[in-house]
Amino acid sequence: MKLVVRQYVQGLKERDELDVLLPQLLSEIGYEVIHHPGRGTKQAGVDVAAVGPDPDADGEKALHLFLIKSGDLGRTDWNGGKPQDVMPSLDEIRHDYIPNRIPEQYSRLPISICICMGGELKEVIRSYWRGYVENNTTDKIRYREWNGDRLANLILSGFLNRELLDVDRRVAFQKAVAMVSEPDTSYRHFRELIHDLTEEIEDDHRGTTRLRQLVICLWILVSNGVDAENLEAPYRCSELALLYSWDVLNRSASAKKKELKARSEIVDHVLSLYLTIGQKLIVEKIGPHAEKKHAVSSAVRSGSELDINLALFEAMGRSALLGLWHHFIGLKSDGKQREQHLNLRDQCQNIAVSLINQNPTLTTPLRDDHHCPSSGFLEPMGA
Amino acid sequence: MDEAAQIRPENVEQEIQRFGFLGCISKLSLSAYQDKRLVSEIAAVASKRNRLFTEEDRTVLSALGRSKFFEVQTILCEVIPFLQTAPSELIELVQFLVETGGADLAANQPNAAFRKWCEVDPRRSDDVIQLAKDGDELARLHLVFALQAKADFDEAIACLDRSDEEQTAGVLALSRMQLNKDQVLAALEQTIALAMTADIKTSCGITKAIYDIAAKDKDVDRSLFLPVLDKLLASIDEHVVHLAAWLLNWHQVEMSEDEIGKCLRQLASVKPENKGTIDQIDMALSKLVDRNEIQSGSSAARAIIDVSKGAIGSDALDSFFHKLTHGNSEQLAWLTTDWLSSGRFFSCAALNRAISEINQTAPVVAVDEIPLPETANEQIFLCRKAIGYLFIHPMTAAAFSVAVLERGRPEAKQHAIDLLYDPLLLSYSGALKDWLEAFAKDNETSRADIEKVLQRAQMVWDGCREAREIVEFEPSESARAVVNFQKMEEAERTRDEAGGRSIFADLFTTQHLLYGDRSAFNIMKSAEELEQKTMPFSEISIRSELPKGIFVDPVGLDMLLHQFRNERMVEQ
Repeated sequence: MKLVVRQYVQGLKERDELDVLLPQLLSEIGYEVIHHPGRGTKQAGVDVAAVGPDPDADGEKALHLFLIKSGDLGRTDWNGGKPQDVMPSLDEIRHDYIPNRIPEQYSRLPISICICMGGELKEVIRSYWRGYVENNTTDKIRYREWNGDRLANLILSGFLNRELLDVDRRVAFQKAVAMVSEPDTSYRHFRELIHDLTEEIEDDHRGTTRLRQLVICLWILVSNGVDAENLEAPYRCSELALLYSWDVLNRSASAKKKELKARSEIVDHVLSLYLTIGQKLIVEKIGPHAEKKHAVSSAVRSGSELDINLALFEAMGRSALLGLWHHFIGLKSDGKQREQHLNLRDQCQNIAVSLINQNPTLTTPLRDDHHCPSSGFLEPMGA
Repeated sequence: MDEAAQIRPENVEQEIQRFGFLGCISKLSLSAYQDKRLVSEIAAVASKRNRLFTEEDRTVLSALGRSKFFEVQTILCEVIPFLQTAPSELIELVQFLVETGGADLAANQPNAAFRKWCEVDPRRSDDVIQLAKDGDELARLHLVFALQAKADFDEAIACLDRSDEEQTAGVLALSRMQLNKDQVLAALEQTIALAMTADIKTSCGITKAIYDIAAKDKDVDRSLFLPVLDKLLASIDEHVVHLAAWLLNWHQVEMSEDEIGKCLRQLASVKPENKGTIDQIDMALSKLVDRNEIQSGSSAARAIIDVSKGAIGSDALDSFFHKLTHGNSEQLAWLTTDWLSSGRFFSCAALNRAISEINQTAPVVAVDEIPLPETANEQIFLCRKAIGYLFIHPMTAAAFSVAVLERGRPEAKQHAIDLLYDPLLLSYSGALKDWLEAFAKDNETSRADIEKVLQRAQMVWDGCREAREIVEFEPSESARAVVNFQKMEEAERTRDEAGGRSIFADLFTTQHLLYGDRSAFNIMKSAEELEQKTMPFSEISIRSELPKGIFVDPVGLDMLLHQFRNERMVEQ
């Protein structure tokens, strides 16, 4: 189990993955997150700020300032001449964030500046790190290393500890991850897990924890699917997770405001993950082949025209759905974000149209529910 | 060893007394027919009986199974020529054997044995002739063998003035005996006169004899019997159709072009249920192929298939199609072009079934042997028909388009190129591609066009190969299991059906091969000794490519082929 989680953490990217996971993880283990990350909202080198016990100082309450990096940290990450490298960022925290940006109520707390990474510090920069820590540690400021191993331990003791994720759920989760290349089997086990987690969900923080468990399990599954280069199970599971988490949010009317807010954020994360995996599958994987004659049909390695027909309609439906999501989000957004989503919408639309043009089986729907007018899904997108 | 084979010649009398004449023979194994001494002893003892063929013997024969009956009949046929008995008694036995044998090809063996019996002593033939004259019905039925055995031309001619049965016997005897030129002429005069006045069925029988008689003198004046042929061929009675087929099969070499033409025209009236006539037609058409008369054979075969709406097809005319597909490729190319250009559905469909490209590396018709029609429209029409009907034989279907690129009208060439690309190369990337590459290498005229279309197709094939990285579309494990199960069930059903149709199924034991590279079976070396033999398997492989179009665009492809098959030439 730890190996699976460790590999997952190792593969997380800095943006939209590790910086999303960390606040969730800190919240779950009792930290108060006072600064959430957002693209372009890095504050003077700090990605995440949270108040909680310092595990390297016998649990003394401290203000943790996290500097997040993906994978392993090597020489070029330490000081390669870019402002976002580790050393300039640490200096920025020391010279800008600490004197100017710490909220008043936390100003008396000891400060732990943590470099948080999915992998580990490579030996080549360990001496730089040790020197930097020795030169800059004061009574109030100390430096901590949160590597992938620590994050994996925190996930296992936090999200996935035995009290919260019982044996049956662990087994279902492990099977879903292990069988990620057999999408039907993986999906079946994940559905079992997700159903179990959300069936009688509580309105208080315990219910929110379950939703977080759902997200972390989904993240790990998606990560494994990406590694295995088979996104079918991740796509279907994230779709399912979105439906379940949205349903839980709808059923949380009597929950406290704080829980509702947390749950709403979780649904956003699931949606974000769903859109990410949809983008990888539809736009990045299928998209390049959509313009080629019969190519996508040939990808269905089957001696049955029925398999090809159903797979192609599924692909077209997914493309349309992804396009509709981007259309919806684009219309609700402004500025650059709007433009970005509408561009993605157009990409999805083009893929769907190309699929129809290059794969004639899409002109002959075989299932009753595929008989909607083929232009129906494209209309909201302006086609 | 069975009990029957232990009967010795010296025990025959005792055995016949114990079991009766046929009861004793039925105890023998088949190999007894080769034992001359035993056969002779049986004949001698049987000849001493008061009555040769008794009620008891009838009962014994009637009770025998089909296979055993023919074993007994084989031995009897060896015994019959040695019997010393009254003709009427022997005729009774022979008649019973022939009737019981039914439609089996071996059922007439006793007649031959009877003829041999007559040949032993000319007085036997005289007795039979006399019996027939006296009105003995059975003797009249067997009169032909007596006449044949005696080779008595005058007696045979004399029979033509007697009863119907005697007339038939006389005609048949004349057709079977050796005749000199004068006798041929005399026999023809008599038989033609008979044929002109007889009913259709009898006249057909006599006409067969007329042709047999005429075949004995190659200088005979064939105009003598044309009136008979004309009279008969005016009817489409099934006997007449059979006669036409029979004449073409057995006397095609001697027949004039006029006679052949008249008979060929008659063939289209054959009814699909008349299997015997169809067999004769099949053999007759094969002989036309042998004689390089493909144009006559082609139009007759096409008419037969189309008139019968496919009820008579490549299966029924298998010898004809086998000759074509395994013989002179020029004839096949001519016929294929002719039939496709006509665009008749049933004949083109039969052609499709007759052709096979399995394990082939080139089309079944050579490009340079395809006789292209004159105009560009006709050439395009031919290419489209070839694809419509021969799509599952892609190299042959493509050969017509390639022929247009090589020798066709310039305005038809782009259409031929487009047809090569879609639907042929879009569906086939195996043997067709290899053949086109090889063809382009050797033929400068069409090289550039073929290479261009291959490059265009290569882009599609590359795209399909690259798209295989989308593993998400692969059918699930459960879907694969269902398909495998269906395939296994289908294979089992096919195996059972094939076993049921096999003529060897009853003759050989079935060996079930589980695994390994050899089969093992046991043979009896002697009564006690069993020897195991092993036989290594030889490698058999069959290579065939399924068109991709039936998976990626089943409806579109079907529509396209349907259109190609059914479209008609635009009237100029």
